[in-house]
Amino acid sequence: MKEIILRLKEVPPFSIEAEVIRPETLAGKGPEEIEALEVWVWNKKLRLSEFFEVEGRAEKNPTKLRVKLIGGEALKKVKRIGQEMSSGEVVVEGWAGMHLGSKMRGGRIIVKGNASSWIGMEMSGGEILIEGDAGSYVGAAYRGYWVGMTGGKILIKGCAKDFVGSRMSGGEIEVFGDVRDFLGCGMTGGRITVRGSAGRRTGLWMTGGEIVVHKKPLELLPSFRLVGEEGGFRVYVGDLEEDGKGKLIVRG
Amino acid sequence: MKLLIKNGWVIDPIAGINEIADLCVEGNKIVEEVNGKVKVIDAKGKVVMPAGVDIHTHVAGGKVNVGRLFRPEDSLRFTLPRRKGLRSGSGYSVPSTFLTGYLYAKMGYSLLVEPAVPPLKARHTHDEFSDTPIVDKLGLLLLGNNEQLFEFISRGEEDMCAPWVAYMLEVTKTYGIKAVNPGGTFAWMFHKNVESLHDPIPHFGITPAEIIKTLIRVASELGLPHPLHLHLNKLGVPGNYDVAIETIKKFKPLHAAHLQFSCYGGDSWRNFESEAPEVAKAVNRAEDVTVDLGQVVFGDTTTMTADGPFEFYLSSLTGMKWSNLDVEDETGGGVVPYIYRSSSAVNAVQWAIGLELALCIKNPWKVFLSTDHPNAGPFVSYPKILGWLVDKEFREKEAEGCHRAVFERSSLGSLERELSLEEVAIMTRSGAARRLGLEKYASFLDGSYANIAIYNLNPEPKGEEVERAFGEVCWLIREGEVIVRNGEALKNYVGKTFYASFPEASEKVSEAIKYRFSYYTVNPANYEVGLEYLPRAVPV
Repeated sequence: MKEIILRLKEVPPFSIEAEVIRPETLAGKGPEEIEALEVWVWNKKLRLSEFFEVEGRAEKNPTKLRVKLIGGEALKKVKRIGQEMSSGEVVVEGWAGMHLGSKMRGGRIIVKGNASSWIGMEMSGGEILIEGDAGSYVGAAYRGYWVGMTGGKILIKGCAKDFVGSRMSGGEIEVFGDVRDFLGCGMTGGRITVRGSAGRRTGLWMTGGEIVVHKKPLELLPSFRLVGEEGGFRVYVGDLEEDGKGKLIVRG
Repeated sequence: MKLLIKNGWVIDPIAGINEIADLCVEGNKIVEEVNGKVKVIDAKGKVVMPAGVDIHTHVAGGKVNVGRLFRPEDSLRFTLPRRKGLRSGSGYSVPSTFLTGYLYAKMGYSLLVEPAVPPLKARHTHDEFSDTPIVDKLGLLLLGNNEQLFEFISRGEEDMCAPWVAYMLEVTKTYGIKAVNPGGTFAWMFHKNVESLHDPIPHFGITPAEIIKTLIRVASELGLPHPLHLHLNKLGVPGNYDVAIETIKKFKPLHAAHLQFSCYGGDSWRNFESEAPEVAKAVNRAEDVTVDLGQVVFGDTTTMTADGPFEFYLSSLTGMKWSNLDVEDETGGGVVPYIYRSSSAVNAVQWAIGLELALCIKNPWKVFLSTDHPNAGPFVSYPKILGWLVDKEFREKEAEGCHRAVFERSSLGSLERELSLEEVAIMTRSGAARRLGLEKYASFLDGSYANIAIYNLNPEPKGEEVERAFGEVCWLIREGEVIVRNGEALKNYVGKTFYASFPEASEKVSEAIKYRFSYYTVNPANYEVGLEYLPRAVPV
């Protein structure tokens, strides 16, 4: 892996729509070329150099490129990092804004701090690792759309908020901390593991896939039917409201 | 301003021109000759046609906006940033108002017909019309499930129907009558639908046939320029072609909309097949019946119709999200996203049916291009459809990528016909304009309005060339002014809105209906659209 560093020098006044920060776009470009890339900030198109300082020349082959962002908490104003990326690696030394790795197809993203909402939205491959907490809609479908994450893996060491894995149909999400409400809402496939507890309406409208919650959820929907017990976990099937055959596995 | 368009291949079916000629414009009209200071456009190697007319496209009003709200994910698929003097927009199958205007202008269109204006949503529709730039607009009023009309018909007060319709057209500032699944949407209020033209509807006991007959009579009594615009009963269900044939044989004058959805054979989706040649035969025989295609285009789109029961059926069939519009709006409606897949036998046959209709109906003045936007596909696919119609090879290339049912369950493979550019011009502009009674907005006769589209096209093009050329007009001239150059809109030109005017209508009906409003949740002012809502109103 060859590394380039994007160092945040100016805290942006508004969020930056930085979908250009992905290995495929940066590959083969020198620091000046990268700084000349344009990003939308509020209603203006500005150059990346207004906010970032680039160190190093990017490797031609994106699969061998590691893009490192340094900037601490202020990086939470940088949205869409690694959006639609399919190879290479992005490391965020700090926080990450919304839509991190959304529609991602491959490669790997590591965030050392917290991440905001919509990470891994509709992603189909690759890996996302968040060392801190994440916001809502992890691996979910975009508003109105009916297919969320279809493949790949999201690992969150901290907690996450609402609608984790909403409408997810494949892939894997693992959260080490707690999650809030609507976990796996409308899920049709894939697997979600929560090592902490879950909020209300876990598994609402799910028709397939598997949700494992290690600590007792706040509430269990009446539309789930107990089918058995294995290793200290109760196995439920639902959501019967939707004729669902999803599995909800909860520590008894 | 004076314009001279030189050396172009001029095709105007209404004036009967199909040759290399010069075209002169003075002010907003076509004239015989111009002299003095003239702006010259060299159209050498290009085709000059009247601007396009779309006779059936859902671009404004209640359910279109529900579609926009209901499909935020559709907005992500296409966005247009703001440019100098122009507005931004987003949306692919349900584009926002300004974007709709720009995209139609890009294809060289100048007149759109919004064929489904619910009476209570007329003001909303006109508001959206005034935000749809460059093109002229007109709306058709949904009256096929109007309870007031049903009451008049069932009581035998037939003479009240025409004044009532005139009053409704006048207050809603609409141009003609549209009926959607007449009787059926009303029956939907009682969780029912109608299966044929002779099923009595709940409460009133009248049949769709009686409703259609009355509306046709009313249209001719009032002298409306456009005949009844009908969305047939039992639309979108296998085995519905006999209803289509019966309707086409029985009623005239009539415009049968998006006929593709009514040419289905078989008795379930499993043995679903095309009966388009039979229906086309009926259209060929019928006098004074025109149709538009409702051609399917593969991909993701949003279906929306005032046929509420059909949308419910579609949503239960596909499991897609569904939005229903209030039947209390004096018509129903629903919105459901849909994906037409070339790998699906049903969708592939649906695709073939539209093309079969276009090719089997012999007289191009009887059949007009539409996708029933956005029901069978977004209007931006028109150029591709034209490519399929003028080039057999191009059509077969698409067919080969489809489910084999295209060849097994439709006659598309045996159709040799390729449309000429003149026939294309009739299907996309002249025919529709004539059927709407607005010929002077889409022809080059002296004194017509100068709505001119110039395409970069040779007279005998291949499919790809047609698709490219019709997708991006070289010049679009709107009433003597160059508004689009190479597909790029230059300014927000404000189009006209046509409506049928009956100034004294309200007096005739006011006595008869006044007392009814005292029992009603709305009052007459809820329907009335003032002229201040129409920036350039043209009464007809």
